[in-house]
Amino acid sequence: MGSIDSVTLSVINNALVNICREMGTAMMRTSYSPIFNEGLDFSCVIFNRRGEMIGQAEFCPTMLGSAQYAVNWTIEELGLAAFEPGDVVIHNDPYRGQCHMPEHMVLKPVFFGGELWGFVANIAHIGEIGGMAPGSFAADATEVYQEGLRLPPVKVMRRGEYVRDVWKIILSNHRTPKTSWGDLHAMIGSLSIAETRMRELLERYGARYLTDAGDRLLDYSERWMRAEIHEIPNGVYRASDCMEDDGVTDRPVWLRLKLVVKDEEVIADWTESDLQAKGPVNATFVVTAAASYSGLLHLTSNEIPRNSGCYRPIRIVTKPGTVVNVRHPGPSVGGNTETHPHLQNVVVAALSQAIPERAAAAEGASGCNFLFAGVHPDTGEYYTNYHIDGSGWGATATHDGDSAMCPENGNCRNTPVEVLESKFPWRTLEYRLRPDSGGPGRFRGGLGSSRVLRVLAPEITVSALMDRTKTQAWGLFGGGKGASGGIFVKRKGDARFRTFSEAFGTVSDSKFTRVVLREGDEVMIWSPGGGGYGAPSERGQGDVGRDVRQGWVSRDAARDSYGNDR
Amino acid sequence: MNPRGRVRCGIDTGGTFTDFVGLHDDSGELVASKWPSSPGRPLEGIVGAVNQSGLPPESIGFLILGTTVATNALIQREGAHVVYVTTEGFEDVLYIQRMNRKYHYSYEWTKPLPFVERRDCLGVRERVDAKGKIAVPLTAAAMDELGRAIAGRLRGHRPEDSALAVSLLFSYLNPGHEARLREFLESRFPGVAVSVSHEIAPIWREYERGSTVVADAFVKPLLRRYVGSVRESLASLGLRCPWAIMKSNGGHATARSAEGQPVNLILSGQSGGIIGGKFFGELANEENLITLDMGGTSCDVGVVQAGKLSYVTNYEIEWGLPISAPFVDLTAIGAGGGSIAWIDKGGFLRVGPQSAGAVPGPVCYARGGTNVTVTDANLTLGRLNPDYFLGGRMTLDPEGARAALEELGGSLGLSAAGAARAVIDMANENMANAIRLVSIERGLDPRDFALVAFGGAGPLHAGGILGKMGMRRAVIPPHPGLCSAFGAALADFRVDKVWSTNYRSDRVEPAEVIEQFGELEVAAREQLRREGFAATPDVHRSISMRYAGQNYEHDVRLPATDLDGASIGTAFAEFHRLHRQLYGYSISGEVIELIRLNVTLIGRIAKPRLADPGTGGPLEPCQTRPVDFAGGGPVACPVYRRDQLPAEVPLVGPAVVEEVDSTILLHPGHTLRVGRSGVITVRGT
Amino acid sequence: MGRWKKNPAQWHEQTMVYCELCGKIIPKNLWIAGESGQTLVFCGPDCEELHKTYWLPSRAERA
Repeated sequence: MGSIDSVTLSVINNALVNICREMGTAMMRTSYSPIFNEGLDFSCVIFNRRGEMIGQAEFCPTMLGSAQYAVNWTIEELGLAAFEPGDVVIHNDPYRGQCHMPEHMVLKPVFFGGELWGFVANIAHIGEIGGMAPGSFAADATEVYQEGLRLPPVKVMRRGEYVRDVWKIILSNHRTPKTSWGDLHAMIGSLSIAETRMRELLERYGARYLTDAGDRLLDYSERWMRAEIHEIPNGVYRASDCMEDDGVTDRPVWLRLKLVVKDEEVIADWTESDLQAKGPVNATFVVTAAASYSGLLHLTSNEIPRNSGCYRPIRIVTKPGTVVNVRHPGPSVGGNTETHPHLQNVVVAALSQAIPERAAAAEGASGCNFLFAGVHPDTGEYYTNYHIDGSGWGATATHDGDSAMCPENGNCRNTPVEVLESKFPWRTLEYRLRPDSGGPGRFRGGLGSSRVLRVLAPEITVSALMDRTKTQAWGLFGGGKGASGGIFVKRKGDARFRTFSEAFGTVSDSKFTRVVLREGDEVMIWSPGGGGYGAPSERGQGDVGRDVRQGWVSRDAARDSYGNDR
Repeated sequence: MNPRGRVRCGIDTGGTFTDFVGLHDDSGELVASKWPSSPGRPLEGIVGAVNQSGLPPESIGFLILGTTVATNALIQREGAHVVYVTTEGFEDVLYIQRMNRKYHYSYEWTKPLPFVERRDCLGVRERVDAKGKIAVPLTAAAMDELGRAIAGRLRGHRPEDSALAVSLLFSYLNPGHEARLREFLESRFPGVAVSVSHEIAPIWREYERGSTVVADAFVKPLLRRYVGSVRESLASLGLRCPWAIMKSNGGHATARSAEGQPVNLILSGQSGGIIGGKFFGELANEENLITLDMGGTSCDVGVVQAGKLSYVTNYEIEWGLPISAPFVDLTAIGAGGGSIAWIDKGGFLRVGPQSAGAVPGPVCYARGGTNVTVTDANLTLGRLNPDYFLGGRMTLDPEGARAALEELGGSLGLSAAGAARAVIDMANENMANAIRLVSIERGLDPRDFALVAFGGAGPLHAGGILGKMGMRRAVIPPHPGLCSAFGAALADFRVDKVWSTNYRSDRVEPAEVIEQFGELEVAAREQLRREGFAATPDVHRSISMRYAGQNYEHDVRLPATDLDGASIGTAFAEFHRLHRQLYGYSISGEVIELIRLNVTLIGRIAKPRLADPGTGGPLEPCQTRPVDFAGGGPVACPVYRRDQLPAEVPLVGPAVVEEVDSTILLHPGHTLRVGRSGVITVRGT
Repeated sequence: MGRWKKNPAQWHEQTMVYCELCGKIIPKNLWIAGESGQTLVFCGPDCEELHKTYWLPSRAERA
């Protein structure tokens, strides 16, 4: 590659990344639900007309990895000829290449000189899409039909005009249509901005040149990825993990990986995994693919331009009807938030055998999804909300795991206490880190968090979908496990917190729906901690002492885990 | 203002030089000087530069300093021992942060560390709720208990090196508890600096507010000390005039006000540049400007639209450590003369953000630097004069630069000249990207703007950037290297006041809004008087609005005239329009929330009249040398001295115009003209 | 060697055809390949290839 060409190429790569970032900023600034504007649970992408992703920015890996499947499906089902300037297609069908029902993609064709050049798209979590549970996270769903309104790729805008029939169907099936109206406009508005920017780029470089540059960027990323894989010793590496239960039956569901590294390619063979679960912890194929990609991308250079080229040397093998590739009409809402990070942890665990110096121990791997709905006593208006918490990340060969982080499959923010309480009738009694929740090790796992919320309204209906409340994030190379998480309730007048199974008879402690709480009841959400790396005995006593002083590790744990009795 | 002193002075402490500019109020005559900066000892440069200027102390009437003390303390993490006080149960918020990460696929990145240790984060029993009502009262017993805990945390630290930061939940709605705590802490811990969040940053989101108040506390003792030593140094020079420090908002504050809220000084050292750039841009009759301040290590880019600066309310010291305060909207990137060129793992050429600094500096400084820099590339292409760098005070080594570029070119398959052009192209592209950030990403078309290029290296790169951006005109101020000090000397007084509200468009009483604006203005005027401005200020009012349900606001301006009910209604219509313009849609019929009322008062100071250059006279080059422009090999290029150029005589490129602190590269086909006050305008093709 | 074939389902039919190797549901373009008298459906020649070079040998190994 000539050098001036490479200068232009990297300029174009930056421009594509910047357009995606700009789309993201516009969505953050204009959207309605906190999971959008505080959580940033969305991703923005640019595709060529062949359906290859040529640009993305620092959003949620799960959506970025699955975006190309959703876009490909849309192009293949509708055909390129179906697109006209000003069209916008919406799509959330997990049985048509999407990751789970709340994730909605909107896609807009970019025309230049009368020709379809490519697409701009974003995928975002719509907080409420109907179905059996407010907030559309039905932890005891047994079919996709209970999880909300399923939309195959259909146009919501045609030549810049609303396709009202489709909007009416959408808005009459969502519990909070006004919020959906605002959020969908934020998504579609950001597409217009990206479309304008793409046109400017096309004017600057010309359509053929930009197509060519996109192709070269894809090849460049592929070459770099192949070179990175080449540095990983050839071999067959196995690892596994389980979902602790599926919300409907109280038994673990196993994810099993056989990872083959051969020269410049990787095969992620998941076919030995358990049959699909009754409850919604099933992953769709694209979730499993995205998790496999994300695992590899976490372990390779941070400098590779992120596009579909990175995925080319990574092959996925699954069997339909298993937990890693759910068959219709199985439910899958938790597959994207809970199973995805477990799958990625498994990929990293397998590769830790080959490249220990790059690997991380397991993380909390739970979105700690907490949903609630009710009528706000101040306004009389019905609301729902999707709330998430961060968990401890796994330690690595060079540093302790970060505490209270969004799981690896997302890159979302928390909702500030002051924002949460301004919008919903809760009082937060504490939001802190959990001492001793990080797995001990030469490098310590990150800590989970603890959040206690008190109901301020006559009633609030709550649902939850979590994992690693009975299991734990593993350590690597002698590192200890992180602490389990959990969700607990204290009814008004009670002396202590109990599990929801104890208090309400739910099948699972961590996965339940539609529990009605009353004023004064309290909920406590504990996110799990991350695993440690290396034997605790190898940790410097200075670091142990510092952890005790800062309050991350108790004196007892310092003595028991690290033999530090000062 | 001291009646005897008639010179208004600006001082800019840069990484390599401390620049001084004095302006005679009456004549507009300009006095300039430069003195080497001593790392870590800013006062030596200030004293040196003032002495060097030769101005008698009694002639100086007002002095404004730009300082990087606060910025450097934060970047180098050398500040006070901070104890942080917050609502019980939320002691970890500064460590939890926002839960997201800088890179989406990386195990290498870790969260930034707050400027306070976790064990120094203390909770106090109290609670204000989301409506501003007190849910748990703050008792004397709770304060006593807190006092004992703080005393324990301060033990072993000198009071003058310690600071207390307070941020309680919902204090922006009801500051009562914070105000009581401040009083208690000040009497219990005399001599220890105290920062409270409702004064420093009355904004919602507990992490962002807490992070801001901790940053304020972290630099407060240093700023007190800095202000104290400046006071002493100025006294030792016999200077008795009032003096002030540049704020991040492009205004300036008296020493007392500055040391009270140092969080407002983060961009003190950088905001002078854009003020200076705006002044010279306007002298060239341009009111839409993009300013480009390119020095040795970094480049600051700003926008002036219709004669107005734009502002932002957030700044990050590093990713994930936000500071909320009014900032002139500047984008800083690591692109300067000293920026290092390197090849990344994938074989791409990169330039910056690492800089060779002044020592060892570029290869051509021959001080042991081995990394190719932008300056080396310029020298290799003949664009810089090896014998007239800093007016000849320093000789450059072209052979060394060429050899280093040959080596770099080897790995790219390029000649030394080819590699040099690529390095410059990449540096220009980085700056162009920064320009896109402040223009295109905000919906502004850079082609409607003139580029004001200054800093030592700006005029050398202006032509290349014009071409890249499709911009048509560049403005080069006189003494481009001194523009920041000049800007400090010209800075207006500026006070920003904010009031959080929860009004909605469907049930707001305009009279109440108007009354609130009135109260804000009274408070702002009072502060302006305290800061030394007695005349009538300009008043700017705006309301930060959003659709009910959204989470982020946009500022809608109100008329400068007296407000009435109709002006509030007009503002709602304007919000719909603005939303449509920015995002391509508006939601008609949606309720609009009024989140903040904003008042800004600007105390204008008289702008100087600079001497015009002589007209007529011949255009005579002082030499001719081969210069390599983009592609096509070197061409014989006439070289001029700026002070010998006659006014209003067009000069067509290729040409090079040299002056002591900068070099202008005039590309083939571009036309240069010296105008009023010695300001140069370059027209592109 | 296989051949491309459009899924004959009508637009209103909700059919799901899975790739024999990767398990992905195929939108419309099916890659039909014959293997020892059996007809197999893949999402493309790449998956057919991996089926031959990886899947069949590894299954034989397990058996």
